[in-house]
Amino acid sequence: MTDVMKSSPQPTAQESILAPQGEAHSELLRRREIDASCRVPVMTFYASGIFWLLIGTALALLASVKMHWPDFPWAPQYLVEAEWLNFGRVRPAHLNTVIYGWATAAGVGTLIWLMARLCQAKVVGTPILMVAAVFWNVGVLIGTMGILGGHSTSIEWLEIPPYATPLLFLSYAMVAIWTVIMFTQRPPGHVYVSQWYLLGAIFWFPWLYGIVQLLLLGFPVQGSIQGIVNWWFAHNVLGLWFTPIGLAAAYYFIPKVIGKPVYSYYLSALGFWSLALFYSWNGGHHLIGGPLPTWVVTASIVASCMMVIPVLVVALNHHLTMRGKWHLLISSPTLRFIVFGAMMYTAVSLQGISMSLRSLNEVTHFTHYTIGHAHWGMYAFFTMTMFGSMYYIVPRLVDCEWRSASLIKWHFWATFYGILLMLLVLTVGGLWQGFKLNDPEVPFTTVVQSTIPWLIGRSFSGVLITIGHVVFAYHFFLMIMRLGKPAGKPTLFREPVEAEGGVA
Amino acid sequence: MMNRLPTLFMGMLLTFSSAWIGLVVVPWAFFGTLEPVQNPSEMAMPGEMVPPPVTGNIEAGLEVYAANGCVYCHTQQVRPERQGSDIKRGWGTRRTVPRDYIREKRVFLGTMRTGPDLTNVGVRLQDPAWHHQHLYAPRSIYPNSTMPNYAFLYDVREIQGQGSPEAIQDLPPENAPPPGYEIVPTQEARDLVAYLLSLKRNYPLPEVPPDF
Amino acid sequence: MSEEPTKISEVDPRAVDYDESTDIAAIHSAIERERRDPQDGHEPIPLWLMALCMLVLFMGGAYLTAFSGGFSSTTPAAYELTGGVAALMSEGGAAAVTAADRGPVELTPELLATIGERVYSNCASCHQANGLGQPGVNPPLAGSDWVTGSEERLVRVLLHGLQGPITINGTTQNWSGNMVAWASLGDKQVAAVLTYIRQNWGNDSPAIMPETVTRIKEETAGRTAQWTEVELKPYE
Repeated sequence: MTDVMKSSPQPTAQESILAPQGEAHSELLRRREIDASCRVPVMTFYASGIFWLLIGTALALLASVKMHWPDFPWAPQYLVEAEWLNFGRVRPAHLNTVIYGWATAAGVGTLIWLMARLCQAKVVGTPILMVAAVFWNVGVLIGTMGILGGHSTSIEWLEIPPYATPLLFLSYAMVAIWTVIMFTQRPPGHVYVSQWYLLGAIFWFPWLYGIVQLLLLGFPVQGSIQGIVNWWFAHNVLGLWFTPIGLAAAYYFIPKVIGKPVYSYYLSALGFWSLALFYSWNGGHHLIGGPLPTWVVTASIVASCMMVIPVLVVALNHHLTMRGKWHLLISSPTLRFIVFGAMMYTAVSLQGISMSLRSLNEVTHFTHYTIGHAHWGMYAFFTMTMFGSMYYIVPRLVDCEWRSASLIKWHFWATFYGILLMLLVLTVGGLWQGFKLNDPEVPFTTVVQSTIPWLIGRSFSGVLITIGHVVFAYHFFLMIMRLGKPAGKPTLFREPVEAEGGVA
Repeated sequence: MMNRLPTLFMGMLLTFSSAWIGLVVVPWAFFGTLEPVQNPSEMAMPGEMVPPPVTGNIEAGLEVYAANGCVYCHTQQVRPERQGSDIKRGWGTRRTVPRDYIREKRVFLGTMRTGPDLTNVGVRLQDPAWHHQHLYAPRSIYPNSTMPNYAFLYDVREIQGQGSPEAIQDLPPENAPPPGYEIVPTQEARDLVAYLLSLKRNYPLPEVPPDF
Repeated sequence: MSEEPTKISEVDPRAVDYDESTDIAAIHSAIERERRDPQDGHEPIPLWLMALCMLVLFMGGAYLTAFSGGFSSTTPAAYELTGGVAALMSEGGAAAVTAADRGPVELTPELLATIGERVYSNCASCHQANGLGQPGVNPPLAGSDWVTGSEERLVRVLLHGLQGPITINGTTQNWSGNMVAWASLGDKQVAAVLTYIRQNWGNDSPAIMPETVTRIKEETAGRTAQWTEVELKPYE
């Protein structure tokens, strides 16, 4: 395997899409060992991530309902009046539990497994990861309680109060150090594209997080510089942390499941480096019209438009890799979640580019359209990609198969329709709100009233997504309890139509 | 080239630091150390500096504003005349610029307008009693408002003697306290209202000259 | 993980052992059916994509130059949109010329009304851009005899504020809003905004000149309390 990769990256016709038969046994044993060494850290991160996903979903539902029924009279008055359940606290608590609690944990779990598999080495330094997992869980717990208790910083994406952030920073730094250690364990030679993204993510994120803590909470910079630092950070959490992990997963699982090489190494390289260069400049487009000199905003707008290069390149690369294999989406849960996520990545990026243009931003800025955009990226792209990764990874770690194909179906369709409905109502409702806001003849109270039906639609979509999450969490719990199907045949939506072996 | 850790890291460092320098370091160097200026208005007192200092109750109120997440529904920035209807809606007479925010230790530019912009709320709504009633029971003033009530910032207590001059008057029956009781602001509520009343960014600045 | 490894078949056919199991084939099945780890293909980058990238880079550079604001951070130019698109957006480009560039001008009633539209931004959040106010909260300005009638009364309301019930066009009503004092505005700005509201939304009354405002300000010097309707009777 290693030799093949070193000598000739271009697969020859003789090579089987399955692992080469000659080396089959030792190769299988090595994978088995690698997976066994991942079991404890990956499952710890996954399990705690799913725990926070449930908490974050509950907070989201509460915040969503409070937006259109601020005094909802039929509910227990405690929900309306409790200080710690006030909208202004529940909303940031939702954001931080899903960003740091769920998405980061799911991302780190996936990162660990991908690094081990791609480095073809057993996990070393498991204690580092376990300490990181504990620190991180305690950090998110203290942070969430701090936000609900009235200690939020109200800096978007950084609401966790300063007394909890050192724990989180240490945790990220430990994961980063571990990743570098793992990378040195690999056999020399070719580095696969997923690894570039993973290395980028673990290199960029602690730097981002450390700097922004210093510049906003430690020694706050002056005035509206805080705004630009805030959005430089917040946009890069998405662009240089979640996006690289999501793309690493897509770059690994799409070719892995369908058994074809990635279309082009050159496209992969162009996509990676243009993302690194342009995405990092995007933050200023959150402050169009804000108290900043024109050139700062313009620089971010230009960089946002340049994002068309990495986005098209990655989309093209994935599309041409998938070519001829689309029918596998019918059977493979992993592939369906991940391909949906990858398509949503292309869509949300193109939407983001359009929103950075001054003429459209004038309408969509300060409206629910932007909220829809954020969920498009964090949910439809990243979260769905992580679900797909989990469907592939977890059975290999717990040595049993997912219990039920219909539970996976419920999960997929509930979240699929839930998120699409949410994007629809927030996008259309946001445009509606934006046009009314820009018409000074429409009184502000009328604008507020006109958003309410859309916000009720959003709450409904939240119910669908909640159903999906509860189903998934239950299914995951069965896997932890080893109540899945006995190892053997994969749990697929439907029997594969292709003759050449399983797909999951 | 892309198979070695040092070269990979060098590329990642260069791309990332380009943006760090461009969006953080250079802005900080160019407009990160602005000073207050003498108010250029002909109406200004001699020696009146703008923006005015943020101290005492106002600073404490800023913390209450942060703790309760006001920023998720209210912006504090006015876009220029040709972007949106910010100025026409009466949220300010001019756009906001960096110098407007140099006195606050934390700025709340905001990204969402579920509620109106608050850049100049202290200019247009100057009555503390109005703010207290609005925070305690928003729908007693605007029946269609979706603002959460901040009743937890207020105490319901038995009326002693004359009653408190700060007590919220004229509440409609559904929000009114029981007979013999009154609703008075806590210190947090007083601080928050002091902060809101201090939001007046309508003075002229050299960067944005007044009309005449 | 599990303290006492037991064979799968002995306990529950569904349960699986975390540690080494004798049933190698079943345990390895997920790995056995796996495809090989992903490989890179080496197709070239399509030419059209390269061309598109070049075009995007060129357009980005052009936009950056056009909207640079001179790369300044503290001059007025830094806060004006510059470039061709900005001129189109600014209704012929005329509005981009700030008042400071115009120099001193004579205040005609027309100019007062134009400037007053800008000053009215102070009023719009209560009385609304359409001058209709908000029912029960802030009274309307459009068609109100308080606006179109006596300038003595109107200037006083603006300088010191107003409270209590008022009679508009013959109907007496209480308003929960509170008209605050606007003495902080310059005399010219007061005149401008009053002229604007007297000549907009179908109102058609003569302009109020800055000199009138200056005179009334002197006459009422020292007053801090808001007016009531009764007190303003003499100026009706």
